[in-house]
Amino acid sequence: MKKVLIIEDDQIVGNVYRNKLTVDGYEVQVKQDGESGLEVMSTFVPDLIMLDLILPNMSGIEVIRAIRTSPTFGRVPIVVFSNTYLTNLVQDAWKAGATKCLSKSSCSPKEVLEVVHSTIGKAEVAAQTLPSVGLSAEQKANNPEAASATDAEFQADLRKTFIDSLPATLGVLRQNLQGLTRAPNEIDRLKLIYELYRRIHALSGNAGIAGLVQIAHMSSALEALLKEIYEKPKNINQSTLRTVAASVDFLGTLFQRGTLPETQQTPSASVLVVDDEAISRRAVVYALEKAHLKSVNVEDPATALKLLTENNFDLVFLDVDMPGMSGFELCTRLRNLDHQKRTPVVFVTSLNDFDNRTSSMMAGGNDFIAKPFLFIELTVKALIHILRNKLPPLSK
Amino acid sequence: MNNEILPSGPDARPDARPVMDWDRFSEVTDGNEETMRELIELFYRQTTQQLCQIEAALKIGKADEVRRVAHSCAGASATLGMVRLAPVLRTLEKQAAEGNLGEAPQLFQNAGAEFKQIQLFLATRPGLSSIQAP
Repeated sequence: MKKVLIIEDDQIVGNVYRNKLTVDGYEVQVKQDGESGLEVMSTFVPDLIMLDLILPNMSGIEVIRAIRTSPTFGRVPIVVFSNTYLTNLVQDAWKAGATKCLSKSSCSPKEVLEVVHSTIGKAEVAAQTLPSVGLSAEQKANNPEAASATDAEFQADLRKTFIDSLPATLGVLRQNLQGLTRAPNEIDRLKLIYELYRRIHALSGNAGIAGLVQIAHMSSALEALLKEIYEKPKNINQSTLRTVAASVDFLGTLFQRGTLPETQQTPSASVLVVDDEAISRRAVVYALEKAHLKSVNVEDPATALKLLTENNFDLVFLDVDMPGMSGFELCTRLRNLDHQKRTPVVFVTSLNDFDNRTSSMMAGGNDFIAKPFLFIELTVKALIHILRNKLPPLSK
Repeated sequence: MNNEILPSGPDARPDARPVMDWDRFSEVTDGNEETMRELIELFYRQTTQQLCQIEAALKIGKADEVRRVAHSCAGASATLGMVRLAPVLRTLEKQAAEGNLGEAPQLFQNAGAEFKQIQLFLATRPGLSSIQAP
């Protein structure tokens, strides 16, 4: 029997994959941290390892390195789960010797199973049927239609369980956020950021396997932001903390309205970026590209106004201090256009004092981000505004 | 956000920090050498031009122009991780916004010196050493 070792600290994710693979005829062991995963290898002798890169204590990258230097297991395929927003981590995983990298937030159990099949082949023998997950591999092979229906049922069950848990999850996230805003010192604050990061990591993975695309997408971007500020605390400031708070708040909205069938894809969006300075403009475009958001960027506010007059945009990033027409003035003028009255406008500026915030509100702006921003912070802000503006109304 | 103002005044002691936050620069370029070259060329060209504009504005005492260009140059520098140049420009911007150009010539010189330090540093980096400021 082919063997799969899953190293994953999230018990729900670990169990879902264990059940799925067991029913398909694989022998599976789940370990919740890197150390115990490495320890069990000599007795379990896996044919494939599925590894979460974000683990407590020993990191996923360290686990890959340890496996690759092992004379016995150096060539065992390693399929890793990561977050597409953590590009450096994914690159490190490839360099360390990962065989395949999957996005945890956008990979269904069925897709994971297909990756296992293509990497080590299908299991030779059918396993017993687990009542919670339906047909065995042999039964599926004999009856593909029934297999497909069972997969759909399985996915629906997962989704329902996940959706039922969302109010409690939101309560915990809000509690964590409140603690963060009241943290008496840097050490406590960092500890709370780490806790929030671990919770959002779990949320991202669980939303991914439940197939709730927008929640998974939003939480994986927030996870990357939290990781960044936890690892580089110099980036913890009013702007980043405000973005974290806004993200948790928006997740609450998504928990209510982002579970509907029509919200299960990432909407396409067009973004306008206006900044007279080329490098800052490019940085905004780069941060948007991280979320696969296409943008039009212009240096001249008058050209921007023309574009805004003639086109629809889903989001506008404006520099404040531009020659000829300030960002505030441009915002006031775009609000006079009927089709731009509700377009979210985010000001990108180092002038983040109260006076400017007041001017921003008076000009009709929606948000602020401080320069030089973290790229992932801008990505998170963009996602919040775009997804929020495209949500269907709450059903009565 | 980097709103750090000092050290950059005329009496400031030499800044012991590295001239660049290489991690930030690597992030904005995804570590891609071609992107790095492209951005450094743009930075050299733009900063040289902006420093000339500041110098010209200082000569005729146009504080608002000094503020505007220093602001723009500081934003670009901070975006690329030029952690010593950006605060000098922020100080210049702040003082010019208050209409105070008393220390501006010295700050301008400091900015020029930091820009030179960046060029010296980048001249030691593989793949970037051949790029020259205009």
